[in-house]
Amino acid sequence: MKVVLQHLTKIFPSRNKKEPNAEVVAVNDFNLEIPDGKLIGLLGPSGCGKSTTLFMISGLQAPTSGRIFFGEDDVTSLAPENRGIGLVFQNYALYPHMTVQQNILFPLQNLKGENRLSKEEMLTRANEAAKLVKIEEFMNRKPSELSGGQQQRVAIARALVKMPRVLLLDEPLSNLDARLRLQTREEIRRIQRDTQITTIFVTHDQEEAMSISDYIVVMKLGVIMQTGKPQRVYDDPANLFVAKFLGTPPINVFSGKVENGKLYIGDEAVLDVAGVEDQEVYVGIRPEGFILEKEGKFTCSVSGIDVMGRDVSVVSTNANSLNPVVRSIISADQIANTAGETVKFNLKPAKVYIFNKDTEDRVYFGDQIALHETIVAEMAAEGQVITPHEGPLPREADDKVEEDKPYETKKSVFAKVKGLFKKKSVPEAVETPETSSLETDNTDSEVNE
Amino acid sequence: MTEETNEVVVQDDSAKKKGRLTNFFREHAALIAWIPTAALCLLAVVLFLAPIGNVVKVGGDTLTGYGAIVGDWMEGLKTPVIVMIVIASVSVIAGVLGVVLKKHRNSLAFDIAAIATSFSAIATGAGQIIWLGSMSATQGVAYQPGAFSILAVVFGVLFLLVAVGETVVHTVWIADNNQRALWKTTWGKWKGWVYLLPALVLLGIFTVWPIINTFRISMLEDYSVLAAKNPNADPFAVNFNNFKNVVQYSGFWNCLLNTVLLTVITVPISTMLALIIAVALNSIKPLRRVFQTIFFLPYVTNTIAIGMVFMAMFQMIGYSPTTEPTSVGVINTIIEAFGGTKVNWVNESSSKFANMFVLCIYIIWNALPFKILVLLGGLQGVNKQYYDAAKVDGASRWRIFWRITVPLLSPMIAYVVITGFIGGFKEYNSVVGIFGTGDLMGPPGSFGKPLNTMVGYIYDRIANNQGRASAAALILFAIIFVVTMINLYVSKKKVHY
Repeated sequence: MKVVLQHLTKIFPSRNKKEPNAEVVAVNDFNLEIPDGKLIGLLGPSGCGKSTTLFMISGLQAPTSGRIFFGEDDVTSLAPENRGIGLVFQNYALYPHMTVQQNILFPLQNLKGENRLSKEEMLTRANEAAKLVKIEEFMNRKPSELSGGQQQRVAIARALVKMPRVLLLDEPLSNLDARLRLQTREEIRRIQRDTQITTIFVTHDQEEAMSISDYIVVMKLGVIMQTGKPQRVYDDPANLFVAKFLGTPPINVFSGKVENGKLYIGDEAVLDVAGVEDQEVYVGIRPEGFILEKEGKFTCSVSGIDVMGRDVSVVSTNANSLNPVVRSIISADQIANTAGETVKFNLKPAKVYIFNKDTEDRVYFGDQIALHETIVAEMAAEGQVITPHEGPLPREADDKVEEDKPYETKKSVFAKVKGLFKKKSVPEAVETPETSSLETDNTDSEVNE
Repeated sequence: MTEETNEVVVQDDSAKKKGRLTNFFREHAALIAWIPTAALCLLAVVLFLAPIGNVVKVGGDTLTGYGAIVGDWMEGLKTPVIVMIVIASVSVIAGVLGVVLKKHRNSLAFDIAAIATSFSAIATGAGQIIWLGSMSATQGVAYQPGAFSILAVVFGVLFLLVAVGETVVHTVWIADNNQRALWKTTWGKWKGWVYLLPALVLLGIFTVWPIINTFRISMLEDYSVLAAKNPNADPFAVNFNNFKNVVQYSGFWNCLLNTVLLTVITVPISTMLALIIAVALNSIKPLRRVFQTIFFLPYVTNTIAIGMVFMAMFQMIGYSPTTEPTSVGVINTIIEAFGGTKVNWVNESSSKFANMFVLCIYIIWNALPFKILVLLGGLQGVNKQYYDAAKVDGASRWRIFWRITVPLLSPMIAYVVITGFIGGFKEYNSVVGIFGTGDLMGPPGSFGKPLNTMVGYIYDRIANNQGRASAAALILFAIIFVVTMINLYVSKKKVHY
């Protein structure tokens, strides 16, 4: 079932009567066409209106304006139970007093009139749904006797059992631990493939969205920033926000300028960007966009080397960086080049994005223009034309939401590695401060007897 | 190092980790312990000045409380008060010294605090006794000290022994670790019980003993206090005749029937209504607080007063002799306004059905507030997402109510029903409230207390036959016990915790 959202807007009125203008625009002129049978990830930081969008599609919240279509039917004013949706809540909302089977049967028992099934049919349907999510052996347990992942699957079974036209998942994985999350998201992907039900799920975890979605919709402050296939969005971010939101480790952002067809970060001309007008820009460089070379054009001072599993990344600093550190992922055999106070990089043009400093919109150059055009054409071919949002998009500076934590550096590991290569003993200097403070506490307290 | 000292060290470490506030209390525990002690000393003085609850016999008359000491109380007060204040001050100073002497400050300070408290208690009681003695001597009348003073002295001495014992252990035996450890283990085993003793004694006197006594009295045929006090009377026969007599008395069955009827009718109806009102209140936003207040008003109003209002509402004939006999009660006025004929609800020669009807309405109305409060509290604790989920699942309002709300509220409902049954079986004051005095227990002009309840029956017997009253109380207890057990058994199957 194709889902079309037209000019969907949700405004929460001000709670304080003294400030009638303090209303919150949770979703702002949202236009989206979701193709049939696809898995769509609504992605954005908390407070960006993604859950509100989902609840409007479900019918639990009424849009302030705009229309929602399932296929050709306008469902905007339909009650949730008449829309043919399945909704999985963030904390599953399984009825605690019913067994798994009763939970799954509940939606079927609510069917009325000609839709009403016989008891045997209900049981068959419930068993099918349970089989699909692999919980058939838990049918007689209460939700409290199940693990988080199993509860999650029961919730999905309950949503699927009435064969919804659209399946909606609200942060389905946020209550699970890391390992279970990986497993469950594959499970969701499999269930979606098996059932071919158009599925919309909401998440703030970009990795989660990118790994299982057919399309992702990146949102910010109630506005769609970009939609597309996950890898395409990652490769071709439309603006600074999208570039910063996608990717782990996050993109490195510098302030720079374009002059005479050259991109400057500080005083260094790091890249040829022929054809781009002179302007002040933000430069985003993906961590994998750095090439460590002795004669590199871009200089950073090394602060350490971080080994995270298979990745080796050079952590360095640059005066023009907007992030606290510049993080570049390099191949392991290049580690030797990092000896010394500074490192020099050359940049891969495909991994360097420049954004106008005022609008924070992308400025395309070189091969990127062709890539962008290909992607636009690709999207158009799949019917993914998105009516652009009228008026300026919210900029990074407008964002009141707390910034994500900077990518954490593990001091001890990185001090060790640095020490290895510099052949100096650094680790000894590292002391946990807690023990020392305990020592001082002991001095004034006297021993009892 | 003995094990004992090791243990102490371990405790110290754990205390250190707990943080500043804990450390503060630990460091200044002794000082803080003195706050209640000082308060107790003060209380001792106050208690002495106001011997509430003390019964004093002046000549042949019994005087109570302040009445006992009106007169030249100033004269009698002087010496004991001075003595007591001196003793209390000495103990306080001793305690403070214990704190100042830092060596074993925590334990020792507590010990001395305990000693001081004990002294205060002894001083209170002893002061009272001494004072009464001096009064007796000067006035030539025998004054008997009340139980209060004697208890104070007894507990004071007990605590003094405990505290002195511990102090000795802490100071004298401190040099010998082994002996101290031995003492500590033995003492440690019993210490808790000793400190618990006052509470246990009070519980025993005021809770356990009355219950045992009820059993005892119920076995003594036609026991009555007056007869028991009479040295010439025959001793009471020990048998089950009290129970037999109670059961054979026809009035008893009427009482039992009334009680059961009232309970069985009102509890389900009031629970149902409370549930509906609670759900309704929970689903509205504006005026919720106003309605909550209105529904809660009966709970904070006097039962008897409201009973009188109900009586007036259901009244048929006005009290005023100057007017024509006419319907003055609101209910009958309403009935007549709709073209009905007035009903004799509570007046002379009214039917029992009408009486019970009024009683039931009154009891239900009176029981609602508490139930609404409990159920509303439960409702507000129910996660709203269940309702969203049910809505998405296409459940109708009715189904949501029965399949979601009621099961999720079932613990509260069970609680309300069980307490409702217990309260229902103890119904009494509603009858008194509506039908006036406790002697009538029925409409005016009726005989034999037609609307009496179990508690009413017990109350009637208390005056002259405590044996039968106890037997009836035990029968009521057994009924409530069985009904509660049935309730619990049912709720075990139906309640989802």
